[in-house]
Amino acid sequence: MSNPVYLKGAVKENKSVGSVYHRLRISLSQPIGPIIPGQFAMLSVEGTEDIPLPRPFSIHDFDNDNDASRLDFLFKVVGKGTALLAHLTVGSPIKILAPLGNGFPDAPLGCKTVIVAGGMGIAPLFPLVLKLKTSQSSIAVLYGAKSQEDLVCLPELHDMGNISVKTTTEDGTHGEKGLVTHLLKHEENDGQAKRILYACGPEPLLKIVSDFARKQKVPCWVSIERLMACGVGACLSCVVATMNGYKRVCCDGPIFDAKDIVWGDDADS
Amino acid sequence: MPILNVHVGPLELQNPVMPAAGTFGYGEEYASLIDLNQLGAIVTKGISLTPQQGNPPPRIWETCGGVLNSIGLHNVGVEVFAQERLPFLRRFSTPVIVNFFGHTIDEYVEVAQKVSALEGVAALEANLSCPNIKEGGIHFGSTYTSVAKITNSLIRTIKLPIIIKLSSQVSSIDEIAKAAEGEGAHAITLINSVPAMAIDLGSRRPLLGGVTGGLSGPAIKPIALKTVWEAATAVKIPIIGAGGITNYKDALEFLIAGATAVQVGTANFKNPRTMVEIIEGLDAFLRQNGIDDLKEIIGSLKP
Repeated sequence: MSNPVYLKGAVKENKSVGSVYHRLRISLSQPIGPIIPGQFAMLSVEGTEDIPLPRPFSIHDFDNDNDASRLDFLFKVVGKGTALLAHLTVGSPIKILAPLGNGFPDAPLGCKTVIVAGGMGIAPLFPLVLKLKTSQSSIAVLYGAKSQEDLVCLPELHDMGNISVKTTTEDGTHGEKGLVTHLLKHEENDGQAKRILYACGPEPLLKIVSDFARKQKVPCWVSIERLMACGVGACLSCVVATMNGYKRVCCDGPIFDAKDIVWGDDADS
Repeated sequence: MPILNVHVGPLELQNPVMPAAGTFGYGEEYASLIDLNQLGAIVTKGISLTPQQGNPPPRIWETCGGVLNSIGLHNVGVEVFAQERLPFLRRFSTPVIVNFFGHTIDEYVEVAQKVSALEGVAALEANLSCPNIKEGGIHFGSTYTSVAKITNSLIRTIKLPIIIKLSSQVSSIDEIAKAAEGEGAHAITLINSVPAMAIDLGSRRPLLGGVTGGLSGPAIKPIALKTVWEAATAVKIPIIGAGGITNYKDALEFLIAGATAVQVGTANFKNPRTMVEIIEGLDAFLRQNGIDDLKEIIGSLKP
């Protein structure tokens, strides 16, 4: 894990994607790179005493070519904090604590890589796909959401070419109707190539992917989400139950080996 | 250059600003973000005799101007603290105050004895006010008799300065503060987070895994300020003020109310540089107002 930096940024672009999604591009006062896909940042806006906590967001895109002096975040407006971010205009100052967390481990060469994204779970998986695409020949992205408009990264995934993208929607407006985990049945171990799974999304999804991986004896990495306060391992707010006791999602994760997680500890899940 | 140093009992601090226990981990977590040598003191996460797993998640929930937490004193225990956490802090010149707790009076004394035997500990802060554990914590800090008894047991057996951390949730803080002072406590910290809760309307369940929690942040600052002022009027020992301090102006209010030093908690989360900015802000304030010594501010509340 790299040492995080607390620094100033400025909004370079803040585009709405559909009705409730936003893509926020921030230029940093100094480079903080390189970023590992799966790492996150804490964002906060000054002069908002009624919102005492920063907000954790997966780093969705970055320019490691320039040592990461620009970060992109993809988020859904769900509450006070995200509404505030959605209204930031170009040039607005913003405070960033990043990079945080461990990030996804690389896939061993020659693996069949299966990536399972539920809704906003695509945010940290998108840069992972970009990275793995340079070394892996076989990448399948299983991408599910409530409805077509919630598949926010679909155009970019299609633009990548060379990867297989299968979608599901709960209302059947795109791809197969149902939950994305239904697509796992097509990814059963055929004994030909080694496989590796990466997943991010609601916790019930992660549990199903984790169970599938265990049965298939396939390594599986999951990105866990928790409400957070400090982001640096100090406050112990964001713990997740693991085989080795509570671990801090912010710095022991957010990426965990799926077989270490004790599912169902969080009342939100 | 204005003088910022203060005395908390026998402890001399280069300035009055330190973290509140539980918000700053064991110090190392923030060492890449701020220079720990700039702080008045470092206050550790609360330590117990054995490691504690803490409360089930969710452990945190943001309210308007406040943060509810139900961490439940999750900590590594005194042995791991001594071997793996404290050595890092010895690299710094800043005095280390170890916050600690027990489930019985004997346990408080046992932890305090173990911690005070360690090299590099300047003082102990006894948590008699945690809202998040079932035994001990806030119960010890809620009556005159129990505060007097535990303070007496610690003062008799421990050579290091003893700071008693109390709650605002008592019927008469001046009596409770006098109980600590009467038995020889070197200082008092006020306040801990305030017992509180939040409910999810959809499920009608509490939003915290521990059901209730402690409220911190700007929302509790006026409560903290009033409690500090009352205690400062009642006792002569130094008071360390805590509760929603976010900037140097907040810190000044506590000093004027009678606090000798201040702790910063929740504000560290949003801005890890808060404490450093408060120290700089205090220095600038004194210069601008032609005040030579910060101690002139302490307890300067006018009627």
